[in-house]
Amino acid sequence: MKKLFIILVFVFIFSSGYTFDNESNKSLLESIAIVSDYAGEVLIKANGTQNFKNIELNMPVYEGDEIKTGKDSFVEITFDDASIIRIDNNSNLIVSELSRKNNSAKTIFNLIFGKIVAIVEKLNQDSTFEVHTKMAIAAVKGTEFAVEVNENDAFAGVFDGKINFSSIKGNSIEIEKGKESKIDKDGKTENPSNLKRMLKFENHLNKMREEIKIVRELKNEGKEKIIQWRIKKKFEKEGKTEGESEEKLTIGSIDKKDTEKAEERIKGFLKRKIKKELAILREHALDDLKWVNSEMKADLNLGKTMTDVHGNRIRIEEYIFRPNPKQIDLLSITFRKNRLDYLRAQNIFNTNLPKIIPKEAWLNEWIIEPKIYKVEERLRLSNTIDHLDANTTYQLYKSGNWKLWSTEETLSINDRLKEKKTRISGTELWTNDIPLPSTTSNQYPVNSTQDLAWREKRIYNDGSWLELRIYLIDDYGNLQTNPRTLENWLDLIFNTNVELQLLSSDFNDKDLGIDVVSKILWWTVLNPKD
Amino acid sequence: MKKFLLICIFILNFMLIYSSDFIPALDLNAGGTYSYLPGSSGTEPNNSFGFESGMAGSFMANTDFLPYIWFIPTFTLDYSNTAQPLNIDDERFLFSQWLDIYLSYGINWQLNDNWELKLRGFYRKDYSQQTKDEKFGSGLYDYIDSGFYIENVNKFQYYYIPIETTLGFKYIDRRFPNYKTLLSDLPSEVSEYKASPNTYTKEKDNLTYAFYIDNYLQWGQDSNWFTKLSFSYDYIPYFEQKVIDVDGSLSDAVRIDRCSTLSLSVPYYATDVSGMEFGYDFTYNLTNQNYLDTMGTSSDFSDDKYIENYYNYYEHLLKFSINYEFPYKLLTAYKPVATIGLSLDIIQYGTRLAKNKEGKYKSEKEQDNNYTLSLNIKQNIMEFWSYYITATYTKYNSNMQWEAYSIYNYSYLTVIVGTAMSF
Repeated sequence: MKKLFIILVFVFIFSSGYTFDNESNKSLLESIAIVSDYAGEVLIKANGTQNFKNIELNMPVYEGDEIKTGKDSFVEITFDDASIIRIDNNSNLIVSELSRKNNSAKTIFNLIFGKIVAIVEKLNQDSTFEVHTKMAIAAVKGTEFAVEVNENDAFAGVFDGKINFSSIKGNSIEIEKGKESKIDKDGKTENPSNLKRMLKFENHLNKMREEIKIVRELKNEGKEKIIQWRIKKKFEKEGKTEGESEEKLTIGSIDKKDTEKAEERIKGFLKRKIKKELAILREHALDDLKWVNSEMKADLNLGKTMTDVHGNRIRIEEYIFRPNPKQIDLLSITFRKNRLDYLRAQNIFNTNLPKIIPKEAWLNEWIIEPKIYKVEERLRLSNTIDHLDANTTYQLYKSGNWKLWSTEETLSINDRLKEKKTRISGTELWTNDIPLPSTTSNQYPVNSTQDLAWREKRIYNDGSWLELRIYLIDDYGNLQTNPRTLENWLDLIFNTNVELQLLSSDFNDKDLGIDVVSKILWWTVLNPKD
Repeated sequence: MKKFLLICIFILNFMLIYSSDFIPALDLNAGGTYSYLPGSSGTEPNNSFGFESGMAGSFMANTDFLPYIWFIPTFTLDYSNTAQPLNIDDERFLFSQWLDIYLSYGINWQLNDNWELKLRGFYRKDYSQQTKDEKFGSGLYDYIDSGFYIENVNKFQYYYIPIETTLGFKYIDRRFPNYKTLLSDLPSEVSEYKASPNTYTKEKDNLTYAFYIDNYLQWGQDSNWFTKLSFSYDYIPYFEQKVIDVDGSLSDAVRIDRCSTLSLSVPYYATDVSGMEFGYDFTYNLTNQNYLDTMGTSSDFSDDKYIENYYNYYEHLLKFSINYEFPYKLLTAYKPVATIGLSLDIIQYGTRLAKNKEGKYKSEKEQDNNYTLSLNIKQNIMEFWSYYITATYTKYNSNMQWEAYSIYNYSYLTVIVGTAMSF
């Protein structure tokens, strides 16, 4: 149900999305700037792309776009407020900023080289219209002007209104109607003089003024009208007439191809953006994944998880506890195939232990009397159902050197005492105060005399028995055999693991008994029968 | 979580009804894999076939009344059952299944054309089956990430050099639902250890607080050279994992890792497709977690080896790749594109010592090297449909020679032949 719900949600989301796909046509009408006329070779490079492409009529222009005009070429761009610029031949311009927010409009061009003529609609206080060159900035609030830049100088001429012309070094002059000025590459400004050099743009301005007049009139009837008028004008210029077209005038163009291209370009831009978002997301996801992989690797390194020869996972954890100041315990837990075995070793000393236990404390013989020595050792092997306890108590004894003798050793299976040996102080004689096994041991190879495997079986007077099996195996789970060559010997030294298995008639688990694995006793073969 | 999801769905649908622009994107890929692991001494080489597939879907949409805010949900899904060389010995290959689902939902707020704020909430479920006895869907290392990130993106020019800077913060809450310490399963007969004040259950669960900054710049308006310089700092406290003390017992402190990464990449685009890229990443991980190796002895601790800051490491990752678009079309109307990638990954552990073949510690610190050579050929069949062939050869070597639990020295080849669709 839950899955179905999630699937339905996604189906709904995507289907709703596609329903509104056609709405993207609005982008064309709502774009801030549109190519309103051009001639010759004019190229545009969209923000975030590498290649220049031919410009199209009614193509939206976006922030970050770069435009180049060739010889005998020009391009006109009309803005949403009916401002208009003309980029003249052999020019290179970047649309640095193009934003509209509430009542403020920001339009900034970076004129690398070439010529630009502009008629700017009167701007409000919060709005900006600037032309940047590498030497100067021309800032206006509503005027008709032209800027030209070459390698050494930037020129500005004003045909109506006034502009603020400032060098990048901070010098600033105001140029009024009918005046022009220049700023050189050293930031030196020239006093405004009457229009002379910049008069060459007068004709362009006249044409642009005419166009603006029409645009402003058509603006009230909607952008679509303006777009259709431009297409009509362009067709007329190219010798075509409206009647010659088989297609009805549509948004963007009389020619479907033009509309599709413009739409494709908008979609392409946004598509790149969403793909970039997906790529960023993938980067995040991969970064996070890397951490988990390194954590798993560390677990392998620590021997906490491993895979046996059957492809199954074994988990081993070791803990050290200090339950009281005289005691230190090791707990080794093994988990595989849904069963848990553990080994617990409790080491109890004669005195409180320091944080770092000196190595001498673990010895059995000393020349001088030791301060810290072990007095008891309790070992438990358990599969959580059955357990075997082996306990030893110690006493310090001086016989030449100081020695640690065991005074009592007991072995119990599931809390039933099976063996107990005690030492009479000062002698090495053992006394048995409970019945001993009737057969103490029965040691023989498991399969053949060549196998490095042994088992010892103890049969007790009550009829119960305990069997200990030891296997030497290589890293691939194969039983080692008696080495015959030097290579076999080396292999035995470097690639041998010890397996240990305890079986007892008293155990509830008759098959595997207790499989406690300390790290060095890595159990690669789970069931010796296999 | 459910409430959060419902609110997201509600906002999403509300927004879709009023959306003015809707841009969908969908990437699909699927391929067959062939893996080959040369045999080591005395073992037969292994090879196996597998399958991998991926899907990434997203869309961005805005509304008339909030035109500067783009709503962007994403959904990615990756599945693979490519054989992986885990720590298995005689059968070095193990079929491991991996499924990763990543959902995110958020907004991009365009404050102006050069300033954007991004906010994303994300949720991830990662399933892996690594061993034969592990059930897919309840793997030991399955994990769930939930969190968010917030990014501030600025574009500006500095002496005609376009620069894009991203400043971000990411928060991840990571849980391993199936990973609990074996200690927590101990029977009542040894329950005193479970009651010990510093024992813990959820060893892996942690939080990540990541701070990062990315700078992407073009060497000039007309330059085809770019540079990306990034720095990130991750602060990772664990919920429960206790620090191992000098005597091996568990202390009161919890594990905290601190990971810093400095990345530099220098791409060069000769065209939209062809180009090359150099890269170097330096990672420095610091931890307060230690390790006491009991050397397998339970009643004699005198041979124990205590390694402080066990997870400290330096990582150097060098990358180089070339993208080349063939000058001619082959069978289809599109030109094939070849990518050759080389990488060298060196991890030097700060305190971890290497072991010899007998399992005894050497005097030198552990160093793991990973060399990867990859070749990818991709060609479009149609505008949205392509095929790809990828071959990756990886060689691992290490001065760690004790391979009882994990393998450190091996090589591995994978070939993938697949097809992809991008809408």
